[in-house]
Amino acid sequence: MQLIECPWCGPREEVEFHYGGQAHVAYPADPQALPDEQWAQYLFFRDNPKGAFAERWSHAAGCRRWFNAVRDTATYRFHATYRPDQPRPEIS
Amino acid sequence: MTEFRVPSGGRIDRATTYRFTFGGTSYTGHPGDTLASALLAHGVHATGTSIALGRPRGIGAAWAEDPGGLVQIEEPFPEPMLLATTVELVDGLSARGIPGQGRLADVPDSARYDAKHAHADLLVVGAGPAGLVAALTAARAGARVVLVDEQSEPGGALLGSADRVDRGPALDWVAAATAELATFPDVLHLQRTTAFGHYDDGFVLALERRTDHFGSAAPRHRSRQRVWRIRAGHVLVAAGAHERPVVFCDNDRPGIMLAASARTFLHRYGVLAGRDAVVFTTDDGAYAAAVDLADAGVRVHAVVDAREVAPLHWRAECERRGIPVRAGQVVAGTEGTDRVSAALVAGPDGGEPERIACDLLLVSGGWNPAVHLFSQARGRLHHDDGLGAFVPGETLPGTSVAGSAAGVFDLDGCLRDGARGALGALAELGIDARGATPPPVADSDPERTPPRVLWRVPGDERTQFVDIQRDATVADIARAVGAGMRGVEHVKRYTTIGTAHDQGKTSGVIAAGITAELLGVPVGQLGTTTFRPPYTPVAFAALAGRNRGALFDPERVTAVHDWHVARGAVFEDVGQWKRPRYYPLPGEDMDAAVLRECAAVRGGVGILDGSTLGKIDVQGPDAPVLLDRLYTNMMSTLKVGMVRYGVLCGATGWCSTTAPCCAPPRTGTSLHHHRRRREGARLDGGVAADRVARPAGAPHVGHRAVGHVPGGRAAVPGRDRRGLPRRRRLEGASASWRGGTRTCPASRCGSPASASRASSPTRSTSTPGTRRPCGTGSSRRASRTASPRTAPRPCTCCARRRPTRSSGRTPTAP
Ligand SMILES: [Zn+2]
Repeated sequence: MQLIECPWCGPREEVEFHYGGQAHVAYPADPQALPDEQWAQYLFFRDNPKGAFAERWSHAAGCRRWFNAVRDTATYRFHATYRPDQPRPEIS
Repeated sequence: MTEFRVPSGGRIDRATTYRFTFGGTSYTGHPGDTLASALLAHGVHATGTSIALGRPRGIGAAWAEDPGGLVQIEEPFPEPMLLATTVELVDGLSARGIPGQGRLADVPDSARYDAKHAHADLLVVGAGPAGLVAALTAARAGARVVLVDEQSEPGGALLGSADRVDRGPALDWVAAATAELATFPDVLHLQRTTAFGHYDDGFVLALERRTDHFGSAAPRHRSRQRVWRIRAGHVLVAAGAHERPVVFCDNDRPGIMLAASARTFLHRYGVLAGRDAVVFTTDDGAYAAAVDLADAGVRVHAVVDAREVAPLHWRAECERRGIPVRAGQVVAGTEGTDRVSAALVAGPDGGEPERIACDLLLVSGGWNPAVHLFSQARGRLHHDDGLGAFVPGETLPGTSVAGSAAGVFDLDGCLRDGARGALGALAELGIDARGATPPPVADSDPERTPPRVLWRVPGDERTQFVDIQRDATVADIARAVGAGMRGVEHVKRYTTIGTAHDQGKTSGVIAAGITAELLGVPVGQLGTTTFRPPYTPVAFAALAGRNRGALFDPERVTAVHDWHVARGAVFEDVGQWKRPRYYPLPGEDMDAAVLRECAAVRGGVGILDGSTLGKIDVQGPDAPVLLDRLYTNMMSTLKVGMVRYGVLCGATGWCSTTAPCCAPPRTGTSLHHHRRRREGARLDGGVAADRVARPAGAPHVGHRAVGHVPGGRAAVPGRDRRGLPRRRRLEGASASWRGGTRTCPASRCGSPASASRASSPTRSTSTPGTRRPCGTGSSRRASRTASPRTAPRPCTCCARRRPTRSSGRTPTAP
């Protein structure tokens, strides 16, 4: 069982966390103005890289706050976790 | 009469005699014995028969690597398929051999099992020489240390040897080290505890056996086994090594044993594994067994060394004892019926083998480091051709290997390697270990002659057993390779080698070696199969721990549960909650009771225990804005004291749930319990996504008791002194009911016909299946309480809730 570093609580067991999909997907500024295709892009299309991926996580059984993480989808390693108001850190 | 017990020595209590039965025959033994050593003391090698071929099988090693000595325990605690070598002898033990597989006891397991967490800087697995030095080094540096070892006492390989440390008996040093460890408050030292699984980030599971060694005197309050969930900053694997056999014809007979195991039976248990021995080796280690056994009175008729040149030192030792050393020869086969009676020794170029009579054939094909816990953590292995063994092939953060598990096979080297491993771990952990005292020293071993890697001796493949428990032979591997298998994982699955009780502790690497030979590739290139948890079998009961029966999933009851029980409620399970379904009067069935309750609410007023439903309390200046974004309908216009029903949607437009929202005295919303967790996360997401200008918090308040009050006379006209709608005082209900919210009688979930009427009678109408915008309706419930009256009409998602909750639950409307 992995340890995940909650930005507020510190390292906790992975069963306390909930996955929230890709991070940094901004809500469209004016959804009404979007053509259907672009709205569908926002709703349904996400990246699926092998390697570093910025994701949203929720410390569901802990402080219940959301945060972002850069995780390697091939090794499951967490390279960084950071608050939602922080930019994605550069991962070499 | 225990004719194979030596007069003195061993770590057994000869003053006390235990009686036990095996296969219906009575025997005796001593505290400190295992079932295997006690049987061997009576000359009993054979324990059962093999699973497929029915060939006699027996004790082949001294601990968990034994592939042969499986038994069924009948008394005092019935359990199938244990190794006689790992069962500690207790008075009154009753066991029997098995035909390759056991059977579960037909009485319930009455024992208690539990789990415990431990956190440490350093976890040391194995209390042999390397592990003890490592634990001591770390403890002296002030680290929090957990030391686990699977044997009944610490010492590891030292228990089965006559080694010396710091110019004294090695076991004196072990006792001193153990005593010193006990003085550190931050050291947890567990014996009889097997680390069986190594997972991510220093997480290790270990099984502690806590009562079986007390036999029938086991304290009843004590859990029989405990799963330790250990989280360590660094895991140091000092698990030792397993001796491996060499495969030859008829190599499965009782009386054929690993060489070091016979030495362990002698030194630890004071037992001679036979009278007339032949030793077959490819390595130096087996000579120590030959010499020690000869000194203890065993007639060693030959040491057969597959190498061209026998080691000088050991050749001299053997000569002094009159043991013939046959260099460059091999054991090609055996004779015997229930027990080996002769070894067939052949020269390097084959020819007619020579028959040497014996009742004990000791085998050593070198050593396999116990790298299981390293490999489980995804550590790569590499084959050291000089050692003839797979050893850790990389360094992992947070994990290291020391001692013979790392391929260090001499005692002095193990002591030094334990200190090295601990210092490396402490440096990684940032713990200052300067000033650490140097490790103790052992007499250095005589110069080691390189081992010869010999997987098998040529012969009839059909009687050359690779996995003795699975009855799998070299012929099976040849068939697998002939069928096109090229990887060890495929060969394993095709032949079943390494899938038995012992998980291939002796057979796995040999199978890889023979496969590599058949394929004509180096074994290092082919590799081994992946080591997977558990290292040794773990009972499901231990993994389940206390989570059995009523504790498997907690039962939740509301604050007024007793009230429901007193009125004869029939409960249904809703998640973990016990929710009252209806309250039958004598003679009533469900339908009759529900009809009566419906009528009572319709004409009067009812009260619903809504405590089982999830509640989310949304607070903060922008709470109304947040709710507007979550609900499809407007919630920010909700007046204090009022309730409004609504639909919650995600950005995709799918309805995720329906829930009433109420305003007083704080903004709150009540959601269906099974949706609460997800919706709560979405609310949190709404906060975090910064789509709300000012913060709003949304704590779960699932434990708050809530009563919904529907019914034709639920409200009374006017307002109270706080300006809130006046509520009917509900006589007969407990104080817990007060403060409940009134349900919104008809919903505003998007259905145009369902206009809100604050005091209209509760709808119990719907047309099941025709209108289901929320996807959450239950036609079963809705139809059960359907009434012919139809207006005003909520959609099914709302009708689903109301009829069951309101009409189904109120036996005493005022
Ligand atoms: Zn947290």
